[in-house]
Amino acid sequence: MELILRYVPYPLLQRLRGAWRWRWPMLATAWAVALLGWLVVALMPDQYQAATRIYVDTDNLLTPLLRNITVDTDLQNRLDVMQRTLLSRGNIAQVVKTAGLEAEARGALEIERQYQRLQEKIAVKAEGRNLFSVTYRHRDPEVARKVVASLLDIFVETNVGHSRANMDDARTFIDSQIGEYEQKLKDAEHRLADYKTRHVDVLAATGTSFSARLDSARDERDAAQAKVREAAVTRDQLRAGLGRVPQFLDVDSPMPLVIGGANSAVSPAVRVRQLEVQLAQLQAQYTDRYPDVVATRRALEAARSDLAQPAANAATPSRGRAANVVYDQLSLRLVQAEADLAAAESRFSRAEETVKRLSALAQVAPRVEADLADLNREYGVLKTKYEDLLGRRESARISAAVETSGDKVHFRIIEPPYVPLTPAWPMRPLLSSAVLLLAVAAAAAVGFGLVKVDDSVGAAEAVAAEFGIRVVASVPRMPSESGDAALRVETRRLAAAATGLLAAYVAVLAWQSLVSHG
Amino acid sequence: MAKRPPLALDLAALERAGFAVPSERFSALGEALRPLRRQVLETEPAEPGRAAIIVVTSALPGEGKTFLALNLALSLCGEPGARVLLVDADPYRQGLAAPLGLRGQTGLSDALGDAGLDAGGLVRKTTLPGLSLLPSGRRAAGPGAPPSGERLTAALTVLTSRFGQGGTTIVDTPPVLASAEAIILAGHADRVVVVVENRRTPRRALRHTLSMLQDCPNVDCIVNMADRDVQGLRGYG
Repeated sequence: MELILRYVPYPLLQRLRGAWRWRWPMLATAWAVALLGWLVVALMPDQYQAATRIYVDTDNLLTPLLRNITVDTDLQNRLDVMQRTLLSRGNIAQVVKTAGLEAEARGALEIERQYQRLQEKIAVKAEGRNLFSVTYRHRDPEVARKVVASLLDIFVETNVGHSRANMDDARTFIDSQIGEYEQKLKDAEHRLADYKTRHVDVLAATGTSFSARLDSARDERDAAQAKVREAAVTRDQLRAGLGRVPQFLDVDSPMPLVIGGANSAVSPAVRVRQLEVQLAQLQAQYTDRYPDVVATRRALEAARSDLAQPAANAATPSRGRAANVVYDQLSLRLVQAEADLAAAESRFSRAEETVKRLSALAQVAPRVEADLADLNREYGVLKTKYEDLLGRRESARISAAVETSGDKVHFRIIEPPYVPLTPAWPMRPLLSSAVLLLAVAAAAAVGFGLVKVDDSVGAAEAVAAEFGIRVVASVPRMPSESGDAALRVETRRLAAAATGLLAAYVAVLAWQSLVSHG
Repeated sequence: MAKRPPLALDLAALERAGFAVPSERFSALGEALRPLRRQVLETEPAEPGRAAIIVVTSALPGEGKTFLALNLALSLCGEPGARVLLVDADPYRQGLAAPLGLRGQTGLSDALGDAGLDAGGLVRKTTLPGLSLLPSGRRAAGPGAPPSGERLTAALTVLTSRFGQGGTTIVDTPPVLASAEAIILAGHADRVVVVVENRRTPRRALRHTLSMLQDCPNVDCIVNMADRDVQGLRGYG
């Protein structure tokens, strides 16, 4: 004992010796503090901690949120964003609803406090770059689990669901746009076609200049006019010539010999047949209005009337009157000239009509062309847009495919929400040990405090100095049988009390482990 | 007084009880008391022809007056030619009665209470050479019998003068703060030894005691239950 005491610093030794006097109050304090502390620990309500662990690919998930905020995002930032995203007011309100905590708070103020409490008590911790844990403590393990679970649900919905819903939204939007543009494009196509058919005459001139075409039409008309004039002159001359030539020649007079006349000696019947054949041939080739056909028909009628009058005529020529060949020829030529005139006139009128129409069109042509350009442009724009939309739909489909194929993991639930069977708080063994330490510390404090306030005299030198008295002897405690025995008894009691405290501590620990596992 | 047989002292029992009986062996207590012993022996009585009076007292009960008084007496007997009279003047405790087997013996209180009784005649010699004892007495002091200062003083005078020059009278008294006898006795003492118990005697009490004893000559102090000086003991193993 003394061997040990030799190594204790003297001031401390003095203190310890002083405290020895207060051993019983100290021990009593230790017991009281320990018992009280253990009681408090035993009465502490259990708190269960629900926890979940999620892997969040913050690069993908959070970067959009952080875009334009920071250049590089460190872990703290990520955590901040996670916390703020997760513990937003709306989320907390939903958690309260799903976890059935509504009944805990009434009135706006209390609800507000509850939200704040939840925001403080729900711990989001980063356990590495992309690993996060969410924990919550509550005295009811089921409530704790529900809070964490609903928080996780919200997180999953708002993030995965969000981007997926976004994707779907975008796709349906694109689809509807495509439908719309398809319709528009069809309408534009229709309009363009309509316009083209309506203005086909103008548009047929594509390539050559419209005015050139008009010029040529005019030329044509002029030529036709000239022809008409020419034909009229020819006819007039023939008519005049015919007036001068007698229709019949007297028989007594030497018959002029006409050579080469085709029908000079032809009887009217033969001529009628010839003309009928000619007409048929022409009709086979041309329409009834064809000038040659008209002329032939007219000649045929004349021939037929000639054939019907031979009696009258013959009566006269019978007296030596013969048909004049020149006259016949002239009249034939006249018929032809008339036919030519009619043809020329009809051609002229046609040309005139064309010129009129073209000159009328010449005024509207530029507008038509401009309108057409408009229509074409509109059509082009619509088509480009439509194709662009088709391309986008395709890329959206591809990215959606990437998303769903799982190549790009946004997050994964590493540990679903769970609650350990043993409460997270209070950690009774630890607290009980702390209580024991506290008890010992309290005892020490009491001892040293009592030493401090103790007014008793000290060692010989102190007495001599303080009271100005001579100290002639300093007598230590003498070993004696009764004294030693008393000391032994006391020491034994003291040891028993201290050991009892330790035993009580062990008993408390044992009881706690029994309660928590049973 | 010489007619009665000397009181047999069981030195072995005393030694077992922690007293420093005179012996050849080394005694820490004897060593500690050596300076006091020297002083006591050198104390001259105020009036020549009588024994020196050494009053052992303290502020409060239980500080070790009796223990130290007996020890002092025993250790003085170790000195050659020493004559020591130990007077138990504490009628309340009668502290010396138990260790010395004096219970029921007539003593000081009987002499004080009975004018016909001679205090000197009640002194008992012991088997230890040089040591005489005056027991406390059978008459228990109570509230009804306040000690008379005059009688006490007279008894003390009788005792010391009878004991004679060269002797030492050691008076074990009640606590100063508990009774008046101690002050009266100290007033006649040639040397007053105040016993102080380490870490126990309150400073106020000690201060009060000393102020009450300020007229007495040679007031000294003994610290009882002193801390063992660990550093100093090292050399002695």
